[in-house]
Amino acid sequence: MSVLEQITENLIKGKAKDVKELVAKAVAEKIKPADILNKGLLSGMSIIGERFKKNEVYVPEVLIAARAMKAGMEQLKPLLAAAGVQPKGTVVVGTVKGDLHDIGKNLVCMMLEGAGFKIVDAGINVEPDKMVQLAKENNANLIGASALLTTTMTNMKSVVEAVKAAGMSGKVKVMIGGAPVTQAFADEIGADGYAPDAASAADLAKKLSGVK
Amino acid sequence: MQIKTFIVIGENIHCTRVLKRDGNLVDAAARVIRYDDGGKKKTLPIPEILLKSADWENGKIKHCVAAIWQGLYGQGPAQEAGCDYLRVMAAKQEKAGASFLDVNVDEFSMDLPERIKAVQWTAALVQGASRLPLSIDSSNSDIMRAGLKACEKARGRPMVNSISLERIGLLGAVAEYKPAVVASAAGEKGLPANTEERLDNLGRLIPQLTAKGIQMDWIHVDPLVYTISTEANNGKMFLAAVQAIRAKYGPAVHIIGGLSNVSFGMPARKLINQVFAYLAVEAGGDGGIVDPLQINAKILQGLDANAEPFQLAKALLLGTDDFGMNFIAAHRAGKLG
Repeated sequence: MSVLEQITENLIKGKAKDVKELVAKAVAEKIKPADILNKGLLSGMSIIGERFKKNEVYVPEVLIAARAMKAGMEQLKPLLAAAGVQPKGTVVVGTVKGDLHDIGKNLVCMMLEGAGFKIVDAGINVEPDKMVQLAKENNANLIGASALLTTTMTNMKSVVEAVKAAGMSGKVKVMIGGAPVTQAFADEIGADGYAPDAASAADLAKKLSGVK
Repeated sequence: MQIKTFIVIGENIHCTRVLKRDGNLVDAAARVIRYDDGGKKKTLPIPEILLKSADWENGKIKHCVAAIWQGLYGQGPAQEAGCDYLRVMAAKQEKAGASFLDVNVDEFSMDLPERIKAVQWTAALVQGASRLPLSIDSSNSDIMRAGLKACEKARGRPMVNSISLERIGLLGAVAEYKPAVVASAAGEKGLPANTEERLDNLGRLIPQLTAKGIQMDWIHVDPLVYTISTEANNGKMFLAAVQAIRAKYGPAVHIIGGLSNVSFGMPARKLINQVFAYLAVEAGGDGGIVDPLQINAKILQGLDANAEPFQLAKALLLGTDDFGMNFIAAHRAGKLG
């Protein structure tokens, strides 16, 4: 098994220490940092994401895989920067105003990070303008808005409108998700996309960013 | 441990609850939901409008929405099936020892007047099928008021689920209807992160309730249950809060919680929920917003605290099983029953 395959396999098992050592080994073998990222770490996260979508793995297993991903990334980050490898995009993620639920939002952050995006976690109960402001400050190309309640999902529309009002339509795309949210609702409020779960959110973010 | 009473606020009539389209309880080809009425096999036709929904496309169906929709708008046998489905749900929960039947229609539709109509209709129907008082579960004060108004006074105090500093606007309705209340430990702006914040929030909420004539034994404190799948200490933290609340407020107040939240994202949820309820009682709790078919005094009393599955779930809930890996491994090995 190649070192990259070993990285993938240990990441899936959530073995942070082993992933860290294997990334160091891959670097020593002069494998390109971008290949270590894409063919080692990210391919592991994408397998975990697929299994999570099919209910084959449970939330804690996604968490330890994400932790292993982080351990590998710490080794890799300076090298990626030196090699000029950019994140796939930057996403501001938050639970909308009036809504205090964060489990789904946190899972989305994790899967997006695992897919190679830079995450700006705006937290819970976030004002629409705050999301737009964070997108501006961080030069983000995406906003991910989450809501668990029918009463707060209407605030997703305010996010779409705030992006429009700031003249950032097209530049910053809005993706939404959460238990009561549907594709039809996304269409109705003019959001750029809807994802039914955290793993799909990562796929959607890639699609909206025009990256693989 | 002797568990003689456990107040069950039966959570099953809830419009967010989904069944899997490909699961045992749905016949996707025949477009019906299957249910069992004391051994008799019955079916509820799924309304056309829900077959066109994104939920259905995503492999899910909100079964209570289907039943209420048929009851409100269906014709002939379909309408009768909608009513019957809810009656059976109510009767099953009463038989299993529920003290209140929770009714939540917040996800019935996007339209507020329609949700108000739904809560009124469902409250009347459920009361026709059971002697229990209702618990009106809504984050909207108009729905809450409409639900309370639909509750028959003769059957005992209805319940407000829930009031908190964040939803203090409900105080008026509480003063008017003098209901039992679920007093949530949520703050004005956010959820409490530890026992101190819970006590602080409750310390500012409970006096406002008693000032409106609500007695301590009508109050059901919900310290708020967070899932252990994302943070291993969340189970332990809830139990510590239960202990502290009991110590501060004495024996009169009830301490409950939406206990099944704890197992979100985990396998063998029923086992985790039952053990969590058991531990909550040990810590001084005396009830839960739960499915009485899975959790009631008799079931909790019958749990074997020395059995391996119980011990594994307990370790998970107390945060000593790192990332639940032992528990998940035991589940995969078929050791959890």
